[in-house]
Amino acid sequence: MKIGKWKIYFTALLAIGSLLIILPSFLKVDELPYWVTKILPEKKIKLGLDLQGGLHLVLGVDVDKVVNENSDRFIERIKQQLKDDKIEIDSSARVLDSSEFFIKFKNITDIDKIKKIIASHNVIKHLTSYPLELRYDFSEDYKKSIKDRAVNQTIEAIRNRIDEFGVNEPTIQAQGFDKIVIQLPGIKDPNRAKGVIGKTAKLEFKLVIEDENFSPVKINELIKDAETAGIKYDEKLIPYNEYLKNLNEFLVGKLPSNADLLFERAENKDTGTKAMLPYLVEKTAIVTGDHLADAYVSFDNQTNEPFVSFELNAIGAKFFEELTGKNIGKKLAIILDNTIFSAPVVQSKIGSQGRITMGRSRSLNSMQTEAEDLALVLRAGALPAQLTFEEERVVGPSLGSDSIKQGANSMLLGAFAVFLFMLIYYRKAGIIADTALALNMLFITSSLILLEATLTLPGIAGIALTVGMAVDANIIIFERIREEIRSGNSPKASVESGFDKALSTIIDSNLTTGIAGIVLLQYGTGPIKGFAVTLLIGILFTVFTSVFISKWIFRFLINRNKFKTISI
Amino acid sequence: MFTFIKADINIDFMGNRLFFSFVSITLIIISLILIFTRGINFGIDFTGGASIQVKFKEAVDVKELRMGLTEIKSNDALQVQSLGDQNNEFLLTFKGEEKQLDTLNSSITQVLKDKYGDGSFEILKTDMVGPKAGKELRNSGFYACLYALLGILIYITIRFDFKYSPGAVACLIHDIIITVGIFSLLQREFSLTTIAALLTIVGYSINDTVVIFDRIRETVGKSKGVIAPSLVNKALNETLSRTVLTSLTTLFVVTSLFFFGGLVIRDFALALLIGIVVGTYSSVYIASSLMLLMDKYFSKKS
Repeated sequence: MKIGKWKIYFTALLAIGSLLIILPSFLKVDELPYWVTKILPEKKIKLGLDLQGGLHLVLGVDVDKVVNENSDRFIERIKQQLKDDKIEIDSSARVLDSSEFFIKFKNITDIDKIKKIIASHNVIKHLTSYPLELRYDFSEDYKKSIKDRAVNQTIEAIRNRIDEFGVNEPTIQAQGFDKIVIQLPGIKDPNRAKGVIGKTAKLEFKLVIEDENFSPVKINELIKDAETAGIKYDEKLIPYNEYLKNLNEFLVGKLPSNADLLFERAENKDTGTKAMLPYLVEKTAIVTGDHLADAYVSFDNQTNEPFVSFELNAIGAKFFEELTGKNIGKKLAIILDNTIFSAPVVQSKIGSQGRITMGRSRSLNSMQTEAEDLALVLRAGALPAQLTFEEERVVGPSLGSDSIKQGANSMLLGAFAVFLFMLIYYRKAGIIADTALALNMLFITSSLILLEATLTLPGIAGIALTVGMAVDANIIIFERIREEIRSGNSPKASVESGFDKALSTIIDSNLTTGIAGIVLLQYGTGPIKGFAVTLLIGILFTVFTSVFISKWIFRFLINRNKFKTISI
Repeated sequence: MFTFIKADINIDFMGNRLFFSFVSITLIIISLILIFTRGINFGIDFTGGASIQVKFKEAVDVKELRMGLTEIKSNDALQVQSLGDQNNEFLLTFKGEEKQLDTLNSSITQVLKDKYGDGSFEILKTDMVGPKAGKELRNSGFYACLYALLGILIYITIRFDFKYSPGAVACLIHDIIITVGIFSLLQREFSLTTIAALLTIVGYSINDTVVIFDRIRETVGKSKGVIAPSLVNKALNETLSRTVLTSLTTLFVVTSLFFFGGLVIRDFALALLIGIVVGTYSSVYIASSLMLLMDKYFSKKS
């Protein structure tokens, strides 16, 4: 059968091709002769974090807050529009923890005019009307587009930061509609990376309000009032931003209407005691991090202390000039993530440059690291939304390489046991089964490399499992062949019949394992996804090698040698 | 031909089916009792929390370590588990819905640095799962199992007959419950990898069941009327060799993984080990018995 010969050649070709594909992953390229490296493909096997070490982060993006902030800005715009049209409003506000807002107005005749003005912004959905009140919310589509944009912008900002940080092959992807998955393989300082990623880096310049009715003593009293009401800051129990939010909500009505209470965190360099100094600042920021053109680390001439020097872009410079020109003698707070870095007095009109001093750490080294990270984060852009660390896994490099060794060894040992068994039990036919198995493992590994699929520790277990289950297909076939031989059929007929009858069973059983694999692929994350991938690829090649390749080898040998009996 | 199982073997499987059904039901009840009383040792993937795997250069006293760590203010339980046999490698776990999780790991590292000196230990691995993520992982784990079972049920109904599908699914549920029950008994950690193992067991057990069903269908062939238990016996005996051998070879691999695969794989391999043994048994007995029952019930009606 001439076709039989070609099938064998084809198989051999596939095998050699696969070998070439997997070799780069196992050999050190510099030890090979030049001509070998020319024909080998570049790709190495892609290792999961559990095998090469690294950081895996799942961040939650506070998309609801972004929508609500959008709502706030929208309300301001509408208020301005209504004011321009001389329509009198009683009050307007956003419902807490929602993007819904209401407008209470004075003249019932104005109702149509107001409706028209608001309806002209077609992202709004009308909710209800009362005699002197209208309620609205954003449309679901608009909310979704805001959320998507927030997530994408966050991904971009994080990507910029990670690029500057210099990580090899990072992965940053959206997961679901409000999560981001980040994988940083081989990273040496995961905590620092986390710091760089997580910093909101919202830079704002706000004027400090110095009102005689609100002396430092009075402000401290208000803070104590809040404490009695249960709003207290404890670093270990509650995030700073949440405390700040609760505090300012509590103080609504007690503070001037355009003021927020923020803190400067000061640390006494000599004694190390920490303090939180309260300031009243204006609510709106005229100049923000969006207006930054550049930020870099500089050193003070006299103290040698590092600080962050920033430059504003044209618009920012203009606003900054106006701001400083009008407020000479007043304090301007430089605020980062709602913490006041410093609040220097404006000495003169300032143009486009400024400095942010690092007042917090003690050693010059850590101040410098802090300054570098801050500059990096300011350059890369602020995060549009707040992030929470949902999931974090760090694998150290030594554990990674240990895991590879253990995983690979146990897999090879198990595979070897199976190989040996097939030889003993099925004798010469066992050699054919073993060949098919070896090819199976080869093809699975090379597919993983070609598909750039990630190999994880459970993935190695998956390959091992596939070996154990692949041999099942061979066993089914061989047992059938034995049955046929016992019923007195010729070797050739037994082999054909055995393969035929076994085929549908093999396909059925592998398909059902495939269903489990597909579900795992869909619902699994990280290492488990890696396992599902190897399982599914394994099933594919199991059918191919156990059914087709074994059959080709059998047929080829039988036709060539016209056996009277076969060793099985 | 070299065989373990003689070609003309004829064990009366179906004759004992009542007894074995009883055994299975008892095992399931015991497993369920264990699961609900002793409880499952859920890992942080499901409970939320943080864990650190730390290796010291020299042996460390567990009690001292535990005492040092209780300084860390946390609402949740701290578990200290010793790994390996040299008393220098430990797994520290805080389980629960702690709010300030991302600083927890740094607090722990700081305490260790203060107590034992920077450089006397190496952090091998850290994990942190926030409450929201924990809940989502729980859900996805649950739905994964549900959909897998459903998918298989549909497939079996299409490929075979509705008489066969309850048997197949009962067999799988049986395997999952008993495996989880044993995990509860031994209080082994039940994590996402365990769910992966359970789904693999599902895939493997159904594999077995399908091969047997296939043979039963072939043996029953064109014979009309109620399927005789003797026909099922014939099919089971004919496939017995293959059933035993496949389980054996897969067990070779899984045993190797269990003993030599390292910490992470060990629990995974244990689940597979239990699942393969139980799965093979259930494919032979439970699936076929239920199928016979369904057949008898539906044939009586017509």
